[in-house]
Amino acid sequence: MFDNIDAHGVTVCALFLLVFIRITLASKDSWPFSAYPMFYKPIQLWEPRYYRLKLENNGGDRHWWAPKVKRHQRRIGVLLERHSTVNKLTLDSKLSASQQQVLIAAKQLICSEQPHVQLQALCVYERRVKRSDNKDYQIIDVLVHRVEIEQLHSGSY
Amino acid sequence: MLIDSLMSLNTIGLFHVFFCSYVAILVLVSLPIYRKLIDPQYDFIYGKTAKVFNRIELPTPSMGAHSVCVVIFAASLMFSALGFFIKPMLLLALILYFIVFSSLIRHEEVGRKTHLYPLIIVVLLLTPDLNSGAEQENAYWPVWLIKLLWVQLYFSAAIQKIIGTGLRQWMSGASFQTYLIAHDAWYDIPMAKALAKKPMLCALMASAVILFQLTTWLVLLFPQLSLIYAFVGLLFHVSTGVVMRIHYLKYIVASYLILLLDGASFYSLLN
Repeated sequence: MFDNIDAHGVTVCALFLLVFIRITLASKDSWPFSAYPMFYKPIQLWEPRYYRLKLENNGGDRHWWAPKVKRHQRRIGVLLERHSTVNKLTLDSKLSASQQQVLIAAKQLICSEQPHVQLQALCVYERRVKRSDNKDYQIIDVLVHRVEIEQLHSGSY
Repeated sequence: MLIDSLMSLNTIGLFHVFFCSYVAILVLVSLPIYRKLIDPQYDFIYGKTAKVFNRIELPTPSMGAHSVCVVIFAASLMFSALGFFIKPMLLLALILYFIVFSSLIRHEEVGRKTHLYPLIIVVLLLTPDLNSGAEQENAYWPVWLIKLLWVQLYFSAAIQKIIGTGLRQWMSGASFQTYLIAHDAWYDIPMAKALAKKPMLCALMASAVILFQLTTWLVLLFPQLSLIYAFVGLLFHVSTGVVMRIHYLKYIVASYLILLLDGASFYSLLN
């Protein structure tokens, strides 16, 4: 395998190896190098809140937002969660500026994917996981906020 | 004639042709998706563009300029694969990679999935002669080094799990089960839900994953294992696609070509 190994090759391989060892042990990401930290943190299900959106049409029917790029809904949910630590979302609460920005961004994403959608309101649901034992769990969705699209559009919220 | 000229290449030469052709076709096919992801409306949601080595900020091309860069990136790889100005075309592709992907890797659709590409291109650039025939024995180190890039991905991922969660905790399956539940909460995935309700199976799968990731370095010492690890790795990515909707396969399969070609060349040498 290494019959015809040369000094040039050894040097290049050694350099890459050194960089990889450093990146791996330091758990660092330095694009294009990465330590690939995937599923590495123990997550506590009881702590995080999963915010998901339901779209309400003019008739009052609601359905889950399912964007073509699936990660959008998660990203929007994560941002809502991040901006809700200070200003907790409730049915009566007033949206903070950053929460408004997130929902306006969500509205733009929805409208760019479905230009003809009849959107009346965005409904923010807090999704919680209830675990009965180590085998079974239940997902419970609670409506925590509803905002009319018109209000988001005019920024008068 | 094409097959004859391919057959005259050695492992690294064949890898160069297949890798460059695959990546060129992949980015061209993905161009409509890239055009959506490059939209400045995502800046607020996904943050700014990535910096090279976390330091060097690249100019953000407009949507039109980005598409042109994608096409030139693909063309340069294709020209290199076809044997026209092999090294200059690879160098051009390397530069364009950073311009094309700096605004894309912030999206999980792309994320870290293309990180190996520029590193592989660097190795190809440093390879003495990509056109040498099979009879003329080229140095083996480029093959070994590309396999090392592949190994680092999985081995490092395993080390991060051990540092972050602990080996015993990870192998118990509890952490994996929790991730499955989280994925179900985000995306409503029936397979994730079904698997999360089987803790023994979660423990088995989590143990199998860490065992695979921790032992990938064996392919560096024993080329005869390359085909086995390629099969297990591809199976792993198909599983994460089905169960967790993490679709690494279409990007990562390009790096698997080295395992397939090295394994195949090992067995043909044996015969």
